[in-house]
Amino acid sequence: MASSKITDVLLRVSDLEVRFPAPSRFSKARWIVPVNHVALDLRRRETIALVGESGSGKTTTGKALVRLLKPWGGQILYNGSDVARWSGRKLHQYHKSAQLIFQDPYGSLNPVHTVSQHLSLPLQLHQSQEPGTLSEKIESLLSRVGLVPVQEIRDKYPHELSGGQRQRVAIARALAVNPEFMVADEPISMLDVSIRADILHLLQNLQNDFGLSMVYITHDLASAYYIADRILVMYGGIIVESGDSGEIVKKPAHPYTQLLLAATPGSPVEGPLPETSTGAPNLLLDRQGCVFYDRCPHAMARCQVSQPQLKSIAARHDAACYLYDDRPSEALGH
Amino acid sequence: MIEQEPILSLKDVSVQYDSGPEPVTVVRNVFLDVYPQEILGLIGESGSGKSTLAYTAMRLLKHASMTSGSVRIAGRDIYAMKHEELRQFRWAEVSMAFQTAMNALNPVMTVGEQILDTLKSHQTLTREEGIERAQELLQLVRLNPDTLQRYPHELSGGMRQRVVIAISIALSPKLVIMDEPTTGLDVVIQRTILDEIVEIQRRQHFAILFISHDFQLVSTLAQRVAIMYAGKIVEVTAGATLHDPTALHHPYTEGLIRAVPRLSDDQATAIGIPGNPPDPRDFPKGCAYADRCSLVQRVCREQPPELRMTGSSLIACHVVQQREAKQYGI
Repeated sequence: MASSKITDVLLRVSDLEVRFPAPSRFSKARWIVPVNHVALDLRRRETIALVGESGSGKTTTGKALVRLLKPWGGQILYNGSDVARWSGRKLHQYHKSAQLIFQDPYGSLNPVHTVSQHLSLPLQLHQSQEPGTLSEKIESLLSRVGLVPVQEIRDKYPHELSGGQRQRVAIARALAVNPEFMVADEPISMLDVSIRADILHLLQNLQNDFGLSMVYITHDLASAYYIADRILVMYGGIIVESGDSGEIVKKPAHPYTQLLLAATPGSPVEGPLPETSTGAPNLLLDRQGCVFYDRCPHAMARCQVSQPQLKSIAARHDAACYLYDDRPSEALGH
Repeated sequence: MIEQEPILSLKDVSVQYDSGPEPVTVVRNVFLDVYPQEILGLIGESGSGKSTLAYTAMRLLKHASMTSGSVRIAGRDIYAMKHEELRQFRWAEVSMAFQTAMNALNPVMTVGEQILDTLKSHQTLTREEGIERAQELLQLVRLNPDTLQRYPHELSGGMRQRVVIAISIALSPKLVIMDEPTTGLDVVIQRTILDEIVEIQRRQHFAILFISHDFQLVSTLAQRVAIMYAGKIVEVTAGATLHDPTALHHPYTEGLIRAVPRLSDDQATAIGIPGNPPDPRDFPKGCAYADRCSLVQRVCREQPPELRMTGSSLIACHVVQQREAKQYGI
């Protein structure tokens, strides 16, 4: 990560922490920490995938990146300024650069607005310098996301569209403000299998054509491998491993990544799952030791005491695991 | 497997929903057999009629009726049964694990009461015997026996799904219908539960009709797979053929195989299937897949294809059937 030139980096996140108040009966700790000291770089025109199960903090991280919620601590450097604490007019400006696409295309559109109404508000807000009337801009956006025939689609209501078409409207709406990056939170997981690939390709094409960066959030390693340049695996609010997509899938280093890979349908790994229990991670502030300790087949004494930091274990490959502390490369079979 | 009597036999089943302004047919002339001790996967996308077919097989249709065909379970026509007879038969011979575990369980009853409820409605046993059996069942699905005293909201999604599976096998049925039993669970939990299902099934020797939209998952789990499109079964094939690049398939099955990104495949581009399934109110005369099919010919628009043995699978496609026939000079 450190090797990339700062000029390529659109977003540099360090020490990002999000806290939610904890129900008091669970613990003396007053907070749970769904996002715990997350650091990541998003380069221009790059797609990174945040992969993890429910409760891993991937969605909360995504929402913090586009500043739909205010982080408890840490920095989000965007073009050199820290947007983590921005509010008011400045935050409004930032929202034009950072757009979020939600999982549920049935819930994210207004049922009483037509397709063109969904697009006209963000287009008016954006006040772009490009020529053309509002109506022409709507039509060009719709054809960009493959919603044709445009004349027919523009006056339809969400209930008249299929799931895939709705997700295309949501994508068009995100593009309307001409953003620099998009966070796509499980954009295909509620769609039918036969149309998922088309939505992934649409995101890829738009990213190329508009020079966008993208954070793709998913629980599905296979689609992350398919679309992303780099994969960041999250567990219990912590990035436990990150690296080039092929590296993560071919040479997973962290025991949790190995577990996730073995459990993914169609994975080449056979036999029993490499885990010792099926518990959920502890997110409380006063938690001690490695977040994966309870389930880890390789747990050592020191894992119970402190959380290992994300460190380089090979070229462009980081893991947060004590297994790789003293023997950075041979453990991976490089 | 062929010589055996099927445990579930659907013959020419059509189902129509009556709730809207006009009746809508969502299942069309389905023939499907499930044999003892096998796992048959039923794959379909939303609206394909796969869940409706499951409810038809349990005689649990609401606002819908079977307009043609018959359903036989263990040789008996369940639509000819009287109400009380059906109640006894259901769960003892055939049971169902539903899609949403939270909704399938009663929120104000403990897990133990719900299992006892199921046992007592079909068997005469004392409370002690019932509790003992309930504990055995929980052990089968790897839940702690003290789960009996807990309420559904105290359990995680995976634990609830295990309770639902425990209840479905409580009376040792010959057939369990599972409708998306792991959808919505995390991949690790999903895999754990699937492994458990397979293990219990091997020990208890029941058959499973496993309904899912997840192509990858079903193709590794099931011995045979049926693929449903727009209310019809378009292919019935051995699960292994879905991983065999030389096997013949229905164009829709081919489309599904290509549509998913795979971990094991580096270079392959996932390709979606253009278009949408037909509107069941305006169903085409010929093949329902014709508008989305790259192999479409004139005959496809004129008459509906029938399921025929083609290669090693049952396939309902004019074009694939013709190609196969030509190859063997028939």
